[in-house]
Amino acid sequence: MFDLAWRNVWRNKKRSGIIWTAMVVGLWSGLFASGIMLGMSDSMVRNAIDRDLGHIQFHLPSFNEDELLTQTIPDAHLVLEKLRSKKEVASVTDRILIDAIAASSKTSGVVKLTGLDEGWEKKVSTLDRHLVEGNWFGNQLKSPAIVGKKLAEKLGLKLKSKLILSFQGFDGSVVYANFKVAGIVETQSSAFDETHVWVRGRDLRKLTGRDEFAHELVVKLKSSEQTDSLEKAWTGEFGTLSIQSWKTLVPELKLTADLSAMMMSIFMGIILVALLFGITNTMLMSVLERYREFGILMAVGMKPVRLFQLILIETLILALSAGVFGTALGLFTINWFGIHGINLYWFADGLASFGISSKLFTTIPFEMIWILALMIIVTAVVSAIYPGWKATRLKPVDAIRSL
Amino acid sequence: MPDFGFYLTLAWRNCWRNKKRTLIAISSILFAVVLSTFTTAMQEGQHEKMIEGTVKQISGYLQIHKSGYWENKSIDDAMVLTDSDLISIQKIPDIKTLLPRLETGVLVSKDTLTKVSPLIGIDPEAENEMSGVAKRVIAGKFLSDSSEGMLISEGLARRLGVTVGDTLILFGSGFHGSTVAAEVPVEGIVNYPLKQLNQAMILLPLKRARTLLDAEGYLTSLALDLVKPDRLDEVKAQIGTQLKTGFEVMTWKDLMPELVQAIAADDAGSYLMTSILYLVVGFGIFGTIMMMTQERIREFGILMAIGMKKAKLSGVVLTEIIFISLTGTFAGFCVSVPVVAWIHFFPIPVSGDMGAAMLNYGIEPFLFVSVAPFVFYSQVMIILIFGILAAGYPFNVIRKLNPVEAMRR
Repeated sequence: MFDLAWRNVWRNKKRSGIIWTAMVVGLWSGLFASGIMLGMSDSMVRNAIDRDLGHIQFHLPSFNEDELLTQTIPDAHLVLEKLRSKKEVASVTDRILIDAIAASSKTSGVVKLTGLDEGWEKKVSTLDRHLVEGNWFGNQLKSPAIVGKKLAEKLGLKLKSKLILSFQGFDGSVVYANFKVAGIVETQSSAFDETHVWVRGRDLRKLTGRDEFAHELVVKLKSSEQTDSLEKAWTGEFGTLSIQSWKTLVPELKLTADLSAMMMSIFMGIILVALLFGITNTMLMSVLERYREFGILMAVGMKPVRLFQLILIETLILALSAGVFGTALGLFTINWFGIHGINLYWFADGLASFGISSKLFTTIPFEMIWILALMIIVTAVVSAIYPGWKATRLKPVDAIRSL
Repeated sequence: MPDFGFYLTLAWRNCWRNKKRTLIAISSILFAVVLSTFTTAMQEGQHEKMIEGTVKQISGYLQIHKSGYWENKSIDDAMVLTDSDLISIQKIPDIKTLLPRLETGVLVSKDTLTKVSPLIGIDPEAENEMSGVAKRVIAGKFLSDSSEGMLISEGLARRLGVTVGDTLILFGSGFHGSTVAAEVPVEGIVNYPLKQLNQAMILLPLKRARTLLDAEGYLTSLALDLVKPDRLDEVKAQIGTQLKTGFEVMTWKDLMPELVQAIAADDAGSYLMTSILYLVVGFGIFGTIMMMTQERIREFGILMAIGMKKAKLSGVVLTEIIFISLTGTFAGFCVSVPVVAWIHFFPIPVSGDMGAAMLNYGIEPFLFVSVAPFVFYSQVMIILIFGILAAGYPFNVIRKLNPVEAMRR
C-alpha cells in the first residue's frame, strides 16, 4: 500500500509539487509571521529594559506612591554591595530621582531629574549609547548634565548651555543649581526625551548636603528568564523594600506584549484555516483529475476503503516531507533575520514612538515550532479526508467514461 | 473585433458542464475573500477602537483655538466665540457635541504638599456625553453646571492625601496675568485609565473656572465630537468657512501625532501579516486553478485537434476564470458582510487575565472588527486580481500544448 502511494506521489510530479509547495509555503510563512510578531514585542520589551528599566528595581515602598526626596532606601550602599555579589546579577546601579524644574534662559519645564553613577549606569542601561551630541559626563565641565533631545529643543539648549535645575531639598527649602549641558540623548520615545535630565549622583549629593542616599536600585540580570523567580526570592530576602520586575513596574508593556501575542495566535489560526481550504481545494481538484484513474482501480477490484487509505497515505507522505522541509526553511529564515534583521526604516517613525527599533530581529520560542508543524500536518490529514471520501463514492463505469 | 458572444457562450457552458469543478474553484476564491476580509476588518477594528478610545477620552475629533494657542497653550491666547459662532458651528452636519473648555496649569496645595496640575473648566454634561467620565468617578459625585467644587483625578488625590469634602488651595496665574488664589472643595474623585491623565487633573464647571481665572466669556478651546469620524476633513473645511480669521482648526491627527505614529507602527505589522495571508490564499487559488488545468489537458487537446485556435482557447479559459473569480468574490462578499457585521455588533469577548488587564487600562476587553466599506471592497478587488492572475498558468499550458500528447493522457 505504501509502495503504491509512494509511486503515485512520484508519478505525477507536477500535482505532488503543487500540494507540497502549498504546504511548505504555508508552514514557512506561518513560522516567519510568528517570528516577526514575537520579534516586534520582544524588541519593545528589550528596548524598555535596556534603556532605563532594568529587569528588577528596588525602592522604598512609599516611594512608589509619593516619589518624595526623603523616601530614600536605607543603607542603599550595603544593599548594592550585597546584590553585586550575587551570581545571577550582571550589574546593579543606584539612582537618585527628583521631580525638578529645568530652566534655560528661554523657558522652563517640569522634568524627572536622575542622579546616576556614570560608571555603573553604563553597565546597566544603554542610555550612553543614545547620545547624539556631546559625551557621557566625560568632558571637563564642572557640573555636567545630559538632557533629552526633545527637552533640549524645547528649552533651546545646546552643548555647554547653562541649565538651571530647581527642586525641593531635604529641609524643604528650594535648591537652585547651575549645570552645563554635556550631552544630548535621543531614545526611541520622544515623550521620554522631553521629560528627562541626568546628572551625576555625587553632584546631587553635594547639593543636598547628604551623602550615600539613593531612591532606586536597578538590577540587570544575566538571564531575563530568572526575572520572576528572583523577584519572588528577593522579596523574602529584602523584606522592607519594594522589589518589582519590569512586568510590575510597567504593566502596559506586558499588556502590549500579551496583546500582540494574542493577535498573533488569532492570525495564525486564520492562516491555518486558509491553508486548510487551499489544500482541500487542491486535493479535491486532484481527485477530479484522477477520476479515470480511480475508476480503473476500482474496476480492477480495489475496495473503496483501500482507495481511501491510498489517498490518505499519499497526503501523509507529502505532508510529512513538506512539514520537515517547511519547518527547516522557516527556522532558517527566522535565524537569518534574527541575525541580520529586517529593515523597517519606512515605518521607523511610528515604531520609534512604540519603543521598537527600526531594525526588526525575528525570534521564536522552541515549542512554537512543534505546535505549528503538528498543526500543519493535522490540517493536511483533515483536508485529505474529504477528498478521499469523495473518491470512494465514485461509480467506476462513469468515472472511466469521463473525459 | 473579437466575437464576445462566442467566448461568453462557450465559457458559460463550460462552467455549467462540470459543476463540481466550477464549485471547487469558486469556493477557493470565496474563502480567500472571506479570510482576508475578516483579517482586515479585525486590524482596522483595532485601529478604530484605539482612535475612538483616545480621542473620546481627551481631545475630541476636532478642536478650535485662537491661532497659535496650541503652540504655547497659554491661557492668554484664549478666544471669544459668540453665541452666533457656536450656533453656526453646531449647525454643521455630523457634529455631535460641542465641548467648550478653559484650560490652564495651576499649583494645588494641601497643607505643605504642593503639586502641579492642569485645570480644565468644562461643560460637565457635554463632556460626559463624549467620554463617559461620570462612570469613572470612584468617590463623591460628578460635576453639574452649578457645582462650586471640583473633580480631581485619583492619582492627584492620592499624592496629596485628600478625600471628598477636603478643601484644596489653587494657586497660579489666570487670564492676562491676574493672580489666582482660591480654596476649592473636592466634590469627586475620578479614576482615569491613562496614567498621564490620572497623575494630575482638575475639572471644574466652565462658569466656576471662568470666575476663578478671571476670564469671563473666554475659551481656550472648543472640542468637537463627531457623529461620523470619517467625515473629519469635510467638517474641518466647513468650520473654516464659518469662522472669521484668527482661529485654528485642528484634527486629532494634528493634536496627537503620537497616536498617528502608533497606528503607523501597527500598520507595519499588519502589512506583513496580510502579505503572508495573501501568499497563502494566493497559493490556494493558484493550486486550484493549476489542478483544474491539469484535469482539462485532454479536453484542450481534443478541442485543438478539431481545429480550435490556441488564442481562442485561451480566451475561453480566461473568460471562464473571470466568471469564476467574479462569482467567487461576489459570494465571498455576500458571506463576509453578515459575518463581519455580526461580530461588529456582538464583539468577541477577551476573557481571563488578559481581559482583566485590558479593562484595567480602560480598553474594552473585546475584539472589535471594522465595518468600514473599504475593508470589504478592497479585499474583493485584491482577490479578484489574484484570481485573474492565476489565468496565467492555463495560458502557459495552452501555449505549450501538443494536441497529440495531450489526448494520449
